[in-house]
Amino acid sequence: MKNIKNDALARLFRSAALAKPDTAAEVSFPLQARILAAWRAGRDETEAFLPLLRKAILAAAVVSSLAIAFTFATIDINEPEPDVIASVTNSLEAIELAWTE
Amino acid sequence: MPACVARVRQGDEGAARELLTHLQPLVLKLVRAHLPRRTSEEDMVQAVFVKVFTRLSQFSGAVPLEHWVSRIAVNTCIHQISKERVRPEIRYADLSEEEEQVVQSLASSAEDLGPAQSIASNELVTKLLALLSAPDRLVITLMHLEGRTVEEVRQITGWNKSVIKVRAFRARRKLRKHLEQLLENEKH
Repeated sequence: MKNIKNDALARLFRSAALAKPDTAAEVSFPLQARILAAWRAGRDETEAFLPLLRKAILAAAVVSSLAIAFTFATIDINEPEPDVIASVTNSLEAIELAWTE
Repeated sequence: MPACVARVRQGDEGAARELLTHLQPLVLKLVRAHLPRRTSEEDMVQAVFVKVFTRLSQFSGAVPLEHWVSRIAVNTCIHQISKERVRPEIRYADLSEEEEQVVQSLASSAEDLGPAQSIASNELVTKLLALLSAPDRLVITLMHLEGRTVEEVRQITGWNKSVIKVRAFRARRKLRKHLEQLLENEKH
């Protein structure tokens, strides 16, 4: 009984596979234009966004460097155990200073 | 083609057009084989190509470009199909006259169906496939309608071989159950 069922499905698959698919293998010109326009628009968006992102990263790096440099400059080396909280406060002050400048 | 891909990455529109021309038979074939019911062919083709172009910077060249594109096309179709509700069942009344004849032939004889019934068979299979989940539908289409090997299915889908075999086995079992119901209906 099971073989008959299996056979029916296999025969159905074999018959269905013989059906010729739609042979037109070209994308219409309007569709090509739409695809290229979408690609161009995406590319323009990326091109506009990247310089902005670069500037933001550069600015963040400058501020961080200044903050670190300022923190090290203000740490008292003779102090036996530098207070972590004080260091953080100094860093925050340095960042604030860099922003206001 | 690698040179063309490099030019497209640099924004060369002529190269993009060339790449589109080169890939369109492949993409059209895949989209037609796995087209979701409620999405137009043009919309799917556009969605696939836009993904191909925008992700081209991620193409490492480790696999042939065609395999990479196939995977994007198939996954885009699967994603769209999975948004559609799976039909719960197929009734004999849902079949066209030609599809009913296919069921009658399957029920009455153990012989292969004639070439004249291939289109109706294909339509019947499409209706049966609508009862399956998107991945099950895909694996049956690739293996049984397009005659691809497990290895080829692996290259197209990225699934491992065991997953493909298990999925195909379960999908066939579900299809058999639905086909059996139709055959039983035909007998009564």
